Formats: sequence, structure tokens, C-alpha cells
Amino acid sequence: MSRGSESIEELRKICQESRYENEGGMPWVERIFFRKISMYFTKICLKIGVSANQATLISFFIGIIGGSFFIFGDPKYWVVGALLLYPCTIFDRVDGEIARYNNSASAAGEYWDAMCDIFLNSYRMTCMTFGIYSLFHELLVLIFGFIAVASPLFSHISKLLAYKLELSPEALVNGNDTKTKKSKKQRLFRFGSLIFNPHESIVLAILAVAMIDLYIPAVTIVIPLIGSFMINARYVYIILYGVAVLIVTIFRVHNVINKGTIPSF
Amino acid sequence: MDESIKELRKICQENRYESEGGMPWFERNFYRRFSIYFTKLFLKIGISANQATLLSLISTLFGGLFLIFANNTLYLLICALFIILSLILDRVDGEIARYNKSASKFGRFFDFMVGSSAQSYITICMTFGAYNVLHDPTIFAFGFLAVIVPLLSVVSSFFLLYREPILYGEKVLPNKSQKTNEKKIIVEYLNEPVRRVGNFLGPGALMYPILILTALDIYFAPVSLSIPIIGLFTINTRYAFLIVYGVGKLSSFVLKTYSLHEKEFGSKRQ
Repeated sequence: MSRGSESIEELRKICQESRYENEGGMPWVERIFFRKISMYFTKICLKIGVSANQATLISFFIGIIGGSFFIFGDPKYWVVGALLLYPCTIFDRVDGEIARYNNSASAAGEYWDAMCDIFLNSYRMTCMTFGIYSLFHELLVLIFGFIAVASPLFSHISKLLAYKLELSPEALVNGNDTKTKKSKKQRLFRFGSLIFNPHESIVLAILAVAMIDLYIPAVTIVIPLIGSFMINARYVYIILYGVAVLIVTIFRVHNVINKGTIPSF
Repeated sequence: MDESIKELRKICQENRYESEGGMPWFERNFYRRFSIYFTKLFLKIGISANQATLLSLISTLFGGLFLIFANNTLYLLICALFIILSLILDRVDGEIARYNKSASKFGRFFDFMVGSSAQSYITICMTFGAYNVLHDPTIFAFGFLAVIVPLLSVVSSFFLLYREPILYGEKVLPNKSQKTNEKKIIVEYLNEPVRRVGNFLGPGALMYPILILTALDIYFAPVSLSIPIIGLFTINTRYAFLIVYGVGKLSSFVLKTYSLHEKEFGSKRQ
């Protein structure tokens, strides 16, 4: 049987289901927006003979081109950029699926995949900051931009360093099964990661804020003592993104030092 | 705690450098000489090692604020005071932990997180400081580069450390006799002077060039360069440093990752 000659249903079983087995099923955003479509791309790639690493490279180049569109202030460019990010995230899933199909999943492949993701996220955020700066010409935008760029990187560093210290995840220590029992805090973080996690649905979030800005002009807010600011949906998104990730990181560091466990977010 | 300073030095400092063959000269004369007094004070008040790390972070935050507005000697001196204080406090936490025998991996974790965030924070503050003089937004492009790339290379090296046994297996673990690769020699040759100065100054070495460059900018006016195609642009030493640091870090990061790629995939091809 030649490569990729299975039907889509069979391929789904081989390439997708094993991925989410120990996470208790695929999240619905993932299933509806990404995995449904990525399967067809995987089938084409398997037929042509594209390897998993090549798929990562394709995703990287589309991501660089798409990210560059955010450097312009006009929301129309942002919509185009977000639309280009969509195939980027699709190919980000395709590489894993190809690797699972070929049984070629390797630590090196995983490393490249993760590094591409992290780099693209930083690049995208930098371009977005400059895009918004070109609209408002305010230094405050750049401050929030720096926070939005640096805090995901700190988040990664804190997580990896905690793993390097051979700490065990919180769920294992407390002895509760995450599948059956989810605390309010965990649900909140799950919701937060749906909006802010670059791997999941940042594309949808960017598309949404760019669409809002297409139709609603920037608003001037006056804060007593501090002064007045111009804000639009994209600016608010950058602020929320940076601050939310920073708070989560500080929370994680606090948890590691005081409890000695890695929290589940 | 009634030990004299000399006894405290023995308890808190000497065993730290045993495995490294003695305390480096710069470390002894510029940090450890003063840090022990802070340690004594903190031990008397009852400040823990983690609290000392937090104090070091707060001191860096103040130093950075003064660095943004460091357009005269007074502000620069205040800024330098805060930054050097934070570097000393960074040593104090280890000494307290050794005295209390409370050294733990969590303390090291916190110390590392604070150290790496302080470095990025100071770089950001320097970028804003340079912008205050030149008013040229292109500085921020290089500022972002100088913040992102060092953090990215830390993430990359942690990925590798965490997965090292899986990634390299038994056979291709980096071996000193294998370092004949040409690209590797170039990377090492380029990095060597920077690495030596960095090792000499100890952890937090980046703060010194930043302070020196800010001082240079106070006394020397920015220079205008005319570059074909791009046009005229004004540059001062801080801007030049950001360009060199950002681009240099990026190229060394790319070369390092590339040599890893060769090692990993080149060995599979054979």
C-alpha cells in the first residue's frame, strides 16, 4: 500500500487520536478549527513525500511572511497577516501528523518544532508592537510590547528550568486525577491558554481583534492623574497578553519556590 | 550569630570556590569583600536567602529607572550605585543560604529567574535611555533583538539540557577531542574574548558595559553617519552597542543551532 492511500478517517486514527490520548481527548477549538483541515494537508504531503521537518520549515516561512504584515498599522494588513498565519498553524500540526504516520517522531524534530514556535511568537509580537506604535506614536506601546515579547520567553524558561530541577507536576503530588476533577483555578488557566497560547488559537484571537479594529475606530480614554491614551482592540490585546503571561509566570515561580511542584498551567 | 567577619568569610565564601580552584580576583576584590558585611547585617535582622534575592531584584528595578533618565552624571552615579548593590546582593543570597545551610534547588531557580529577568530589564531600560537622546524609533528594533535573542538562546539550551540524553544518545555527546569542526572554531574564536571578559567580571557582567556606554554618551555627542541607500542616521555608543550585541548574539545563536543540526542529522546520514 502506497503512502497516504488510506482514507481520511483512517488517517485521523493513525495521526491524530494517539496525540491526545493522555490529555483526555482533543479540545474542541483544536478539533473544529485546526485538526479537521490539517488532515487533508497531511494526506497531500504524504503523497508528495514531504517529510516532517520540511513541513516545519514550510510553517516557519509562512509564519515569517505572515508576521511581517503586522508591522503596518492598517487593520487590513493585520487581517491578511492573520489569514496567512492560519496555514502556518495548520502546517505546525501537519508536521506532527506526518511524524506519527511515518513513525519518525524524534527529539530533534520536537526541538525544531518548539524553537520555531517560540521564535515565530516573538517575531510576531515584535511586529505587532511596531504596527501599533506606527498608529499611536506612544512610548507606552513599546513598554507593553517589551512585556508581551519577553514574558512568554520567561514563561518557557521557568517551565523548562523547573523540569530540569526534576520537580514533579502538581497533579501527581496531590494524587488527584486531572481528567476527573478540575478546580476552578485550572479551568481559568485552561480558558486563558485557549486565548493566549500561541500553539492553540492565537490566530483566531488576532483575526478577531483586527476585525474589530476594521469597523470600530480607536477610542481615547482619560485616566485621572495619569493622562489620556488612545487605545484600540489590538493595543488592548497586546497589553492583556503581556500582562496575563507575566502574571502566570510569576505565579508559577512562586509555586515552584514555595510548594516545590510544577503547577499544571 | 556572633562570628567575626573572618569566620563568616570561611563559612560563607571559601567553600563556594573550592571546586573552581580559588576565588577569582575580580570576584574577591569587588563583590565578596563588601558582600560579607551585608550578609552579617541580614543574618542579624533575619532576612532569608530568597528575600535577599528579592531585594536584589528591587535594587535592579530602581537602577533601571535611573538608567532611562541618565542624561547627567548624578543620575548615572545613582543608577550605578543601585546596579552594583543589586550585583552584591545577588552574592549575599548565596552566602546566607550557605550560612543557614538552607541552599536548595528552589533558591537557585529563583536566583536564576531573577538574574535573567534583570538582564533583559536593564537592556530595555538602556534602549529607552538611548531613545531619550536620539528620538529615533529604529533603536527599538535592535532593542527588541537584544532582548529576544539572549532569552531565546537560554530557552534553546534548556530544551537541549532537558532532553540531552534523548537527543544525543550515548554516542554523540559533545567531546572535547571532536572540536575540530571549522565552523565551531570560528564560533569559539569570535566568542572567546567576550567569554573571557564575561568570566572575569562574573555573573551580571553585562551591567558594566551598559554603565560605561551610558557614561560615554553623557560626555560625547552622537555622531551622524550617512549610509548609501538608507540615508543619514544619528548614532551614539548605546545604539551602536545594541546593534552589535543584538546582531552578534543572533548570529552566534544561529551558528550554534546550525552546528547542532549538523551534529544531529549529519550523524544520521552516515
